[in-house]
Amino acid sequence: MRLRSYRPRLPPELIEYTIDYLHDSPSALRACARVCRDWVAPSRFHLFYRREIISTRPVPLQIRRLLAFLGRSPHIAFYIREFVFSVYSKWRMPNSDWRQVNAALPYLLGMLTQLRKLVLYGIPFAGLVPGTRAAFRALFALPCLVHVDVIYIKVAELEHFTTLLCSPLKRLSVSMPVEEQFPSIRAKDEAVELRERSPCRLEYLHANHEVFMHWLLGAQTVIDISTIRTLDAWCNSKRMEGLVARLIRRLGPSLEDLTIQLPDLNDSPYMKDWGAPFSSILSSLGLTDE
Amino acid sequence: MNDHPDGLPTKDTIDVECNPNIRRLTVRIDLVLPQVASYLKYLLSRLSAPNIQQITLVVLSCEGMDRHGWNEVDQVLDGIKFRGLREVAIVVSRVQDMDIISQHWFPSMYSKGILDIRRLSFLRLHNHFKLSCDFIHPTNMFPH
Repeated sequence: MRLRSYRPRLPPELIEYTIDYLHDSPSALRACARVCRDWVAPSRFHLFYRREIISTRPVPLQIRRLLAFLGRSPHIAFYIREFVFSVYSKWRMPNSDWRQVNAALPYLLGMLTQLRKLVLYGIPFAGLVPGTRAAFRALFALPCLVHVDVIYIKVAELEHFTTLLCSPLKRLSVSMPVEEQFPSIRAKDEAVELRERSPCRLEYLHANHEVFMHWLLGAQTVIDISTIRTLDAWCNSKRMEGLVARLIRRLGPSLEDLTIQLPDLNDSPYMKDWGAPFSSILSSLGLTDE
Repeated sequence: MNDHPDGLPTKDTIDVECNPNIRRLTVRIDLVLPQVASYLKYLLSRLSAPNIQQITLVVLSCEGMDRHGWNEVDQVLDGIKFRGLREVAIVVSRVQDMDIISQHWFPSMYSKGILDIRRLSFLRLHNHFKLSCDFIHPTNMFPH
């Protein structure tokens, strides 16, 4: 009589625990994914958790490659939980590149249905074609998207950005210049829709931009600030310090974790003796905000 | 602290008096100037959070730090309202700065065994500088 070969199976928790330990080693994760069927999903979870398209390499090419990859293996898109999209660079992306981006990006964004965190660098929102903007709006509306970082996003009016924010959002980080070069034509329909939305009940906020802070403390209904427990505030100008001071007062007892960048002491009367040389150092480094 | 020529705070001065539930306070200081310690003294003396457990000071450059001023910060932290403190961390960017800031700057915190002087991790330093780029005017970042 021949006994059936018995191969003991590890409990799934133990497999996940082991593979979690290798989360920052892509080569090890790739090897794990080849071990057996049980190891595939936990390995892929880490392998594809975060995808980045950054402007150090040609952006349209990266989008096409990722699209092609997801086209061949569409189930991989479910593992992507964080997406970084950056067109932030010292040089402006050529218009020809933007045409290619606008053609491909909506398809890519449409595949990222399980996203939890979105990081955007230097996106000229008001300059996007309607299809791309609509794809971003759909992305922001995902119920699982709870964390958004926007850095150097470019909008004609703040509403071009704030109308994108949806209620599941818990963590928001904003630093952005507001540019006036784009016509503000697309916010109207979104503003109407906005009135019917429930507010974002943020738990975490990082902000270092005056216009956004001014808007946040104003009569807006997009963000309910009373739930913010963690505040990371950068007081990079005298006006910003005043706005942060108002926000901290408004948060009152809900605030549990506060990080502040010390105010620009260069404006302080204490700085009368130090002021001139300190200013010139900052100017020479390009570190002044005026 | 920008707008009080007579030394008194104004409505624009950052104040934590209204935030009794703060558990963790972090202050990031890029350039340590002589008045930073007195500002910290003011900020901490206004804090009335009985549950505060952790105070972190991130100091990128220790040049210009004055021991006397920081001793006064230490005295404020030694007050009764900070009795629940579990950690006072001084985070510096360079190894040399760890030698400059010794336990003598914060003797009370050191004697309580809650002083931790450590170096900023490379990743955090990278993030700090990445975010510090916001000081640069946007037109410099996006040349037309």
